[in-house]
Amino acid sequence: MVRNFLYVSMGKCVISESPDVLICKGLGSCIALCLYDTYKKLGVLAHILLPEGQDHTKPFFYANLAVPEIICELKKRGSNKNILWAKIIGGANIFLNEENNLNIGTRNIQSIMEHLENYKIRVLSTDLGGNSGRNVFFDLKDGSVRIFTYEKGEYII
Amino acid sequence: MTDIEIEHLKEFFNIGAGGAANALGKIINKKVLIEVPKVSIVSPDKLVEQLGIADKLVTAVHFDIKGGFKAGILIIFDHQAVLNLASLTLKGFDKDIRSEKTISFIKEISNIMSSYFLNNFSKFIGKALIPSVPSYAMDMLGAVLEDLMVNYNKEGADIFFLETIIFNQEEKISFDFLLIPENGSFKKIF
Repeated sequence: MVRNFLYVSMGKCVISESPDVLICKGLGSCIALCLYDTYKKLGVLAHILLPEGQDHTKPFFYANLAVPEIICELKKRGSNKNILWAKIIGGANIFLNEENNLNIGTRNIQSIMEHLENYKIRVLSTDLGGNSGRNVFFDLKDGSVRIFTYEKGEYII
Repeated sequence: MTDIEIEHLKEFFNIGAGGAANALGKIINKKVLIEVPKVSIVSPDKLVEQLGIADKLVTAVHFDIKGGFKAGILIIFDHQAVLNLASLTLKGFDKDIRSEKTISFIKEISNIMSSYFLNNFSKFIGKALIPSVPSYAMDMLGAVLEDLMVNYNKEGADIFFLETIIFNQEEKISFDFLLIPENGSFKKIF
């Protein structure tokens, strides 16, 4: 089977199956939400920008709209939300300056956690906060997530 | 915005770019030749590809603008530009682009360029503008842009101004200067 490498840009969401890899590069204060169905080997990566929003034409921009939208989409593909698990990456604060108060990263983390909690989605592991941008490689063969930062190098969650 | 207003802003950006380049020339105490800067209006989802590769390591300085026009200014230097600028200007530069000395130098350069730009811009729109102190990051291009976009462009509106200024001396120094208006800011000017 051909292994596709699919890039997910800001405010977008991609669903695919094993053996594809979903990729998000240069993730800063945004959240990369990875959801995985172990039985079907089906996964989703959403690149979410903001904690809250009401613009339904851009559901993956906002954490509050993205979570229900993704669950609905997975349901259509025959996945039950009770067997899904999530891995959450991102929410960094890139600029080090308290005066400017660019703390969207922190608020994104709180929001995504709350919404996953509401839908009773199990969070398997996270790599959140900090001050570094991340590259995220979500391998749908086994659901592993490989992360790269300039600060820490490469690791797997 | 109408086409005329956009043309107007582009023209203004050209003047502002020339000024910022001159200011930089004075700091490094060399005559600089300026290539005509590109001024573009880009939608947020095209911005990263326009500027380079998402995970490229860049040095970026951000200013938060308050007053009559709320916006963010972002100046992005690549690796080579920082090295070249610092070797031209700093005495005994040790090629360490992460050192305290280099970081404060880059902040200062950015400060001068953005002040020059803001002075002109505030005359143009007839309103006072107050910049914050600079904040600095050395990280992935995508991460830097993301941080700014989510803070100023919450509705994902597709308007951005970007210019690339290139100096041709014995060494080439190029950087990107971005003005990211907060949603609704432009309506207040025109």
